[in-house]
Amino acid sequence: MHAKDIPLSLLIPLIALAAWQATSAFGMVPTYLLPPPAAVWEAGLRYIFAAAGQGPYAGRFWSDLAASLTRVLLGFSLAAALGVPLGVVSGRMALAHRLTAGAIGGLRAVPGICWLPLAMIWFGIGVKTTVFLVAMAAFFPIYQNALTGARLVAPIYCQAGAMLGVGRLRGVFAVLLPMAMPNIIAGLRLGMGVSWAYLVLGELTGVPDGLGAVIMDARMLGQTDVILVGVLLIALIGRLCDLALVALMRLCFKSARRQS
Amino acid sequence: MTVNNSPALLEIVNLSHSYSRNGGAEPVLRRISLSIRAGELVCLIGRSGCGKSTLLKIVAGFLAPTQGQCLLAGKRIVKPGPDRCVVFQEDALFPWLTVRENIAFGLGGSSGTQRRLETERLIDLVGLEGYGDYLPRTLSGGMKQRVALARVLIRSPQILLMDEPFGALDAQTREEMQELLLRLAQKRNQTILFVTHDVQEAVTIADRALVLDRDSEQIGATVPIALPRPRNRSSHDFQDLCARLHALLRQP
Ligand SMILES: Nc1ncnc2c1ncn2[C@@H]1O[C@H](COP(=O)(O)OP(=O)(O)OP(=O)(O)O)[C@@H](O)[C@H]1O
Ligand SMILES: [Mg+2]
Repeated sequence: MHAKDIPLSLLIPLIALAAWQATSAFGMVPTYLLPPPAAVWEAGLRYIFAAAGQGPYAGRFWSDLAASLTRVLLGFSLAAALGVPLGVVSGRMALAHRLTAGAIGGLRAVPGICWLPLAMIWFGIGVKTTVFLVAMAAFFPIYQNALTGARLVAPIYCQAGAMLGVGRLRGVFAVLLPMAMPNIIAGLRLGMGVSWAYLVLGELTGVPDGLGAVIMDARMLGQTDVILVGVLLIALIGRLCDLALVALMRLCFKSARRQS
Repeated sequence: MTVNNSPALLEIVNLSHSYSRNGGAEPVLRRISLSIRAGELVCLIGRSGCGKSTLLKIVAGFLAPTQGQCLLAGKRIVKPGPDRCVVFQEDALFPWLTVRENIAFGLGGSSGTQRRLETERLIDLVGLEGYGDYLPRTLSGGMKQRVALARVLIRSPQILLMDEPFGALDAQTREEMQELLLRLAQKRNQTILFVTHDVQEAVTIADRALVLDRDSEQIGATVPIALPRPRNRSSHDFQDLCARLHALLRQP
C-alpha cells in the first residue's frame, strides 16, 4: 500500500464510524446492543493503558496480545514449515502429488471448526488446542498456493538453470523457489488471515488469556463495549501482521522484493 | 570462422525423435546425421514445425532422443551442461535478478573479485554498460537477448545453441544483434548452431546452412555459404543464395 492510498482506504471506515455515531446519538439502538463510539474508545483506552486492577479488563491488553500472538505465530509457522515444502514438492513431482493429493484433499474437505472437539480431547484447553486449530486451517492455502506456484514455473527456467551448471537440488533454491515466490507469498498471506480467524475460535473454548478469550468473557458479563474493543483490535493487529509478513519476506528474499 | 580442417566438435549420428501423442508416436526427426567443426557457424533453417527446436533441445540435453546419439568432442550427450548453452527465443532471464546478477548466475559460488571482473567484462562485451542494475522487465527485447547471450558466454560453452534468438526483434535491432554475434564469434572462435527461419539471416551469418525438411524429417540440403565477410546484403551472390535457400524451403 502506498502512502497516497491511505486517505482513500480510510474513507469507508470513516463513513462506518459516522453512521455508528449517528445511530448512537439518535438513540436508535439501545446501548447494551451497540454502545456509542466514545464509550468503546474509553473501554479501549482502559483495556490497553490503565493499571491492572482498575476495573475488570483494565490493562490486560499486553498479556492478551502476547498470548494470542504466540499462538498465531506458532500455528502459522507450523503450517508454513509443512505447507511450503509439501506444496512445492507436490507441484513438481507427479509421484509426490499422487501420494499426498488424496489425503490432503480429504482433510481439506473437513471444515476447520470440526477439529475443535477432537483438539480439546487431544490437547485439553490451552495453547496446544489453539495452535493445532490455527495450523490446520492455515496449512491448506499455504500448501495449495505453493503447489500452484511450483507447478506454473515454466520448464524453460529450469532448463536455463541446468545448462548454466545448477544441479537439481541447488536448482530448487536458485530457480524454482524464487520463480514460485509470488504464489508462495500469496499463500502465506491467506494463511495468516485464516490464522487469526481460527485463533479466536481456539480461544473461545475457555482459555484464561488472549484476545479471543476477552471477547468471550465480555459476552458473559454483557460488556458489549469490550467485545467491540476486542473485535477492532483483532482487525487492526491482523492487518499489521499481514504487513509485517510481507515486509519480512521482502527483506529476506530478493525474489519477493523484485517480483510484485 | 571458416575452419575447414578442424575436427568435428558436434556429431549427430542417426538421430530420430518422435513425440508420443494420444498413445501413438509422432515422428519429428528421422535418422539425422550431421557434424559441426570447431569454430563453425552453422544455421539450421526449416519451416515452422519441422523440428528445429526439437533438435536443439536434444543437443542441449533437455530432451532424450528416441534413437541415435549426439556426441560433443567425442563424449555422448546425456544431460544439460554448461558446455552447451542455449539462447532461447523467448525471454528466459531470471526476473528477480538484475542484469549483472543474471549474467553472473552461471558462475555459481566462485570467488568475489574474480566473479565481479568477469561479469563486468561480459557486460561490456555485449554492450550493456550502465545497465548492470536494471531488472529484465525494464529492458527492451534486444537488450534482453544481449543479457541472454552474456549469461551463457560467461560459461565459455564449447558450442553455443541459439533458437531463433532474434526472431522477435525489429529488423534494425536484429541486424545489430547479428553484427554483435559475428564479432563475438570471430573473437572467441565460438562454435555456433543457430536455428532460424529467416533466410536472409542465415546468409548473413552462416558458414553453412542446413535445410531441415518437414516432410522427410531429414536434412534436405547442405548449402555452404562462402561469401566474404562482412557480407553485403545487396550483392548478387548474396541475393542468389537467398533465392536458392528460399527455393529449397518451398519445395514440396
Ligand atoms: N512437447 C511436445 N509434445 C508433443 N509434440 C511436440 C512437442 N514439442 C513439439 N512437438 C511437435 O513437434 C513438431 C516440431 O516442433 P518444434 O518445436 O521442434 O518445431 P520448430 O521447427 O522449432 O518450429 P518453429 O519454427 O515454429 O519454432 C511440431 O509438430 C510440434 O507440434
Ligand atoms: Mg522452434
